[in-house]
Amino acid sequence: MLKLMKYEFFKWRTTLLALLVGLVALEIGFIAGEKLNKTGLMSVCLGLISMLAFAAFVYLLIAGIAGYSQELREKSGYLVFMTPVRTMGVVLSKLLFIALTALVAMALFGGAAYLDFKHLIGRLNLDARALEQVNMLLRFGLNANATVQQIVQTAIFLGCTVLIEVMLTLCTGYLAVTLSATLMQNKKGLWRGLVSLVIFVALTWGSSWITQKLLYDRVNIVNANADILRDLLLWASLLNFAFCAAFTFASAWLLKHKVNL
Amino acid sequence: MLELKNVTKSYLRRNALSDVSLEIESGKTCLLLGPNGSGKTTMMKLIAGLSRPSSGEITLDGQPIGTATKARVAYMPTENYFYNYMTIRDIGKYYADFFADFDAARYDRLLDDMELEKQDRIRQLSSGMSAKLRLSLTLSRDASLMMFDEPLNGVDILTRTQTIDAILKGRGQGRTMLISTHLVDELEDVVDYTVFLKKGKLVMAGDKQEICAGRTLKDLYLEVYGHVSTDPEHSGKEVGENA
Repeated sequence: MLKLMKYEFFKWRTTLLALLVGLVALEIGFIAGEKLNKTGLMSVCLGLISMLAFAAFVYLLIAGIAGYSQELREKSGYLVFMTPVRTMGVVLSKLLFIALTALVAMALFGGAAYLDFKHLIGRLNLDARALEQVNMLLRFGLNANATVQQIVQTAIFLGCTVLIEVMLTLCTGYLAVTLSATLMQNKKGLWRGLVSLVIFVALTWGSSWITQKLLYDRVNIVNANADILRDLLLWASLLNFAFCAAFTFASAWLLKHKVNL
Repeated sequence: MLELKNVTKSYLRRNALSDVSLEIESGKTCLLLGPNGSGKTTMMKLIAGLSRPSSGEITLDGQPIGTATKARVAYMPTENYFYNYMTIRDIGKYYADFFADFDAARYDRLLDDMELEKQDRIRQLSSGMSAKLRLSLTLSRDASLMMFDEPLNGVDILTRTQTIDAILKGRGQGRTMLISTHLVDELEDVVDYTVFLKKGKLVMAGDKQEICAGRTLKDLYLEVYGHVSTDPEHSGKEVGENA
């Protein structure tokens, strides 16, 4: 499985390098703005870093699912599926590679944006109230007494929550593509893509409905305090993780028993 | 031994293979014959584990086709199956990473014989060069079962001769070879066992000497698929379908 992840990296390396070069270029622009005391340039670079981070995440998701679909449709899939690796290993190698890449991207882009934002705020003449609201944002919603450890823990918790959401979208996409490949074995192109999309929407709606019934309907969110909201988010993440596992197993099983390349 | 027991492969409206039962002993060089759409590629993909039979069973030395048998089966598909970013060197490293029986030194020698450069990118290769690369990769493995799906298609005469020579050199040591082709007369002299498929059904299978019974394989092919008897007693007369 690790070897397959290595080759996933080789496939993606040009894209990842382009993203890294983009981030470095924008950081250089931000630092140049700071040295030249041009808050406008700093703001533009920070805005572009944020947009690049969002675009990178969306691209990772779409390309991750599209790449998997392509391997099931085209002969390049033979390269992976002829190897003596279990189907679960094949699916996990792709998912874990995307997860790791998303994690690293989050750390790099998120870390850069966070630090740049702090630097930028220090240069703007904000009134006390606006400054406190911004600082609360930088403390991830924690009050002014929060320690660095608490801020870091909250950042990690929120980061994991976002990562699991990203993985759930990816696992749902993989299952939708695999189910479509199973049901539409003789069809290619638009029909198979449409069926994948319908299944994806159905699975997303289904998992959201289950989460709603099991968790959100049982809590009065309007009157909930921070602890209740944190626990709700934790349980939702655990449930999403369970969905990820179930969808991954289902994809691997279908690949082994039903899908024909 | 490669064994297929009542193997059927169905797609929505048709059977690519219908109730095929076959035994090929280890060490045999087997020719898989049939016109387009007869099920040759489907059979190879089932044996390679790239597809699942709708019913029936396929075993290699008693082991069902799966992850373990993929380590012992080398399959050369008809088309390019590499990632475009790869070079010829990269694909060799990929095979070395995943197949314990891959011989990197033999791969280098075969590349030299085929006049392929390691630094060339997959996307730059012509169809003939791509065919040579697929052949080099397959022959660089010490697999128990080697399958070549139409290895002589789309290549020039010199390359065809190189391909046949390379396949001949790859025989032996108990290795089973399964070759599908339309160019019957080019491989007639190198095979021990022959399988005829027609519209997904097994028409005939057996030792080449026995089933040919004095005829050439080409003549038998014409008789099976062209409905023309090449039996000296019925020469030139149409015969009923053999399917």
